Amino acid sequence: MDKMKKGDLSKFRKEYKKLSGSEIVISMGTCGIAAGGDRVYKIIEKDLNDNGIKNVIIKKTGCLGLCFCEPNIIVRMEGMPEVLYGNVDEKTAHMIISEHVIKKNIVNNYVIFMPTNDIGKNIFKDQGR
Amino acid sequence: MKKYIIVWEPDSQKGSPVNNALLKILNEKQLAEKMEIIRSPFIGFTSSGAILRVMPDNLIYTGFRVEDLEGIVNATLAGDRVDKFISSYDNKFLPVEEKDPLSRQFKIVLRNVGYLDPESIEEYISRGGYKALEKALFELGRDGVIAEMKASGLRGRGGAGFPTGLKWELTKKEAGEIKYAICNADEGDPGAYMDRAVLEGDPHSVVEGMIIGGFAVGCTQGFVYIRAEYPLAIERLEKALKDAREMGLLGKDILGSGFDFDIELRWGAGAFVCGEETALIASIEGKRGNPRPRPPFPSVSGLWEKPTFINNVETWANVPVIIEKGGKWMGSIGTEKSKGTKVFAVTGKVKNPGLVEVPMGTTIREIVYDICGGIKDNKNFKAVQTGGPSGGVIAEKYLDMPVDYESLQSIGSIMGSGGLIVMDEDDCMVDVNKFYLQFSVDESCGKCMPCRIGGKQILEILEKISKGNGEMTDIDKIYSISNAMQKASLCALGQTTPNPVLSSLRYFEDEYLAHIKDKKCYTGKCKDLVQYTVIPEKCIGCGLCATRCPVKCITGEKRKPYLIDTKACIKCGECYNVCKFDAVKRG
Ligand SMILES: Cc1cc2nc3c(=O)[nH]c(=O)nc-3n(C[C@H](O)[C@H](O)[C@H](O)COP(=O)(O)O)c2cc1C
Ligand code: SF4
Ligand code: SF4
Ligand code: SF4
Repeated sequence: MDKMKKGDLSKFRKEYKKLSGSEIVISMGTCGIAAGGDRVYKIIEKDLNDNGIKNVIIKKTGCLGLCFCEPNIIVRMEGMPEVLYGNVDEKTAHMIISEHVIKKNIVNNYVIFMPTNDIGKNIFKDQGR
Repeated sequence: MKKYIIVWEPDSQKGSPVNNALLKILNEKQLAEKMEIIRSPFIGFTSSGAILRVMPDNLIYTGFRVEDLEGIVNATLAGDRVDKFISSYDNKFLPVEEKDPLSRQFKIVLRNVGYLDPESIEEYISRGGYKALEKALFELGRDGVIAEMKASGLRGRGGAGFPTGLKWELTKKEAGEIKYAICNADEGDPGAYMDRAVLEGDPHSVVEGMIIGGFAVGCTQGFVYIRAEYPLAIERLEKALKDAREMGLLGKDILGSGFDFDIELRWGAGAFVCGEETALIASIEGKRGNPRPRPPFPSVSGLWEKPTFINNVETWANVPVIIEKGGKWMGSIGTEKSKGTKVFAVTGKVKNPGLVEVPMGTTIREIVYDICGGIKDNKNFKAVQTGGPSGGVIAEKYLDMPVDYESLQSIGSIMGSGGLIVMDEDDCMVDVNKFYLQFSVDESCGKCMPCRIGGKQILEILEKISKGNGEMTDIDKIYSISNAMQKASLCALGQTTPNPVLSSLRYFEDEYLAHIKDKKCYTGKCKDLVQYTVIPEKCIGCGLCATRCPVKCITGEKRKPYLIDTKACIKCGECYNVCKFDAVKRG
């Protein structure tokens, strides 16, 4: 990438497009990884692949601060409310793909938790999501 | 769009009456297509009664009865709401429009942590990142940045709470071409991990803050002094620096402004004292990490004897927001003398430990009970410890005190870096303080006598008390050694080592006296001062304790009182914990 000059940043922001409207975000700070976040990442990556799902991207992020229920993952599917799952083990990870992503059903008995909407809320006004 | 009602019920509410009632309503009205009920063990905060969260409307209901649920379901279906039960917070310390009335937390430092990909500079920029840098370089200028920092009232988050804007101004004023900016990422307090979360989750916020600081003060080189125990933070920070350099946001001629600034990492080997600024500077210089007397302060003579300013990770992460939103905006948040938010790492005997960020002025009750769910296993609150080995305890009577630098100091604790350890009725003050003293004794660099010898002496007195050999004169000795340490230690490590003991003596003296006079530790933590016995009148002879005892020293016949062989007992307390009939006495 070329070095930016004055004004290039706002141009960049205007042109920046999210890769997809749907995404799965996994908390992978040291704490999340220690709790098994990296294993969950691999399972979700593989399940998305195996099912040929291309429009859902998978991302890693830092510690949400919800240490008591790690690994945490946030699932944002278009047309569904954003859901945060906590204590995600391998079984739940598979179910999140088969139920939530594919069938659009929130994984009921495994939904550990819904986010307060301060999670990811941007305090920079014109950058609302 | 389908409606979702997320239900949280407290543990005390047996049998999930609210969830079941909702399912019944759904069934009777055949709403399965339109609505879904989802149970959640945590919903962002807790309350004494059930909480409902309606999505996608994003409403929260509290304080309703089961009879009210049908009304709530009907309103939800109609796209309406039942105002009477709507919950919202109005925090007087948070008068900004960006606040979320559904949450007691407000995220400035953690604004991106857990949301964006820390390894993607593109995402950071897309969320408004490096906007503040551009504003600083091309709009505010050096004096403008300092003016905003001062207006914000931001105080250092590393513990001492020195006004950041003033620190920058003092360093800027010093003569000389070469100056240095340092980020203190040595985070050594036991139980604290706020800085790690920021560096791992949003490294660019710190990098951007440092570039702005470097610009304002007039330096071209910054250092991040980071613990080698934080490999992931180091990796992500290095990637952030590289990406920023490639994009022209770091290095030569930043954004074409003519301003040059670069950042290098320096690893710390994990000595607590190296977090102290003069020791940290010595360590970067490649010398042994010993503190030295101040003055001269680093702002006058710091790294390689050049004017240097050091800020904590959390302090740096605040900078871009202050510049972008204005010092006045930040200054409107918090209490009179403590502005903005504070990140706490809440650990210990709390149901939902974790990282929270709240406006200054939030009470311990809100943090421990509303946000973190209260004390684990429904035990009784004893105290909260802040400031780690340099801090003190906050007793129950201060649960509702607005927390800021001044209020904590007035009750004998300190804000510290943000570790907040919750203690319950099972924690013994003598035992806890042995831990803190041991920590400080281990971490003392040994350069000066009051700290090197005094800490060890207080620790030995505590050990003596916990073994049942304490005398009343020991309390006086603790006071006089503490006095000497506070007055004569070279750096804050030695000066503050007695704090935890002094503060617990202030609020829990009776506990020390029980150890010294009655030779009793009522929590059972000091093993020499506790006995477990079966109360024959209460014991129904179920035998549970006998099967659980790890050394099999409880004997008896079913349906007759059991007996503990106190000689063989290792005082693990298992029998006391498992007996359902309160038939085991601890004392
Ligand atoms: C023994 C000791 C350990 C310290 N450890 C840290 C630390 O780990 N991180 C930190 O930011 N400040 C630490 N400090 C405080 C620093 O000396 C310094 O005040 C701080 O980095 C200044 O930054 P601030 O103004 O942003 O708080 C420590 C101080 C002492 C006396
Ligand atoms: S007070 Fe303790 S840590 Fe500080 S210089 Fe003296 S011996 Fe070293
Ligand atoms: S568990 Fe309690 S009631 Fe049962 S035998 Fe032991 S002391 Fe008695
Ligand atoms: S305290 Fe532990 S060792 Fe002693 S009797 Fe009870 S269970 Fe056994």
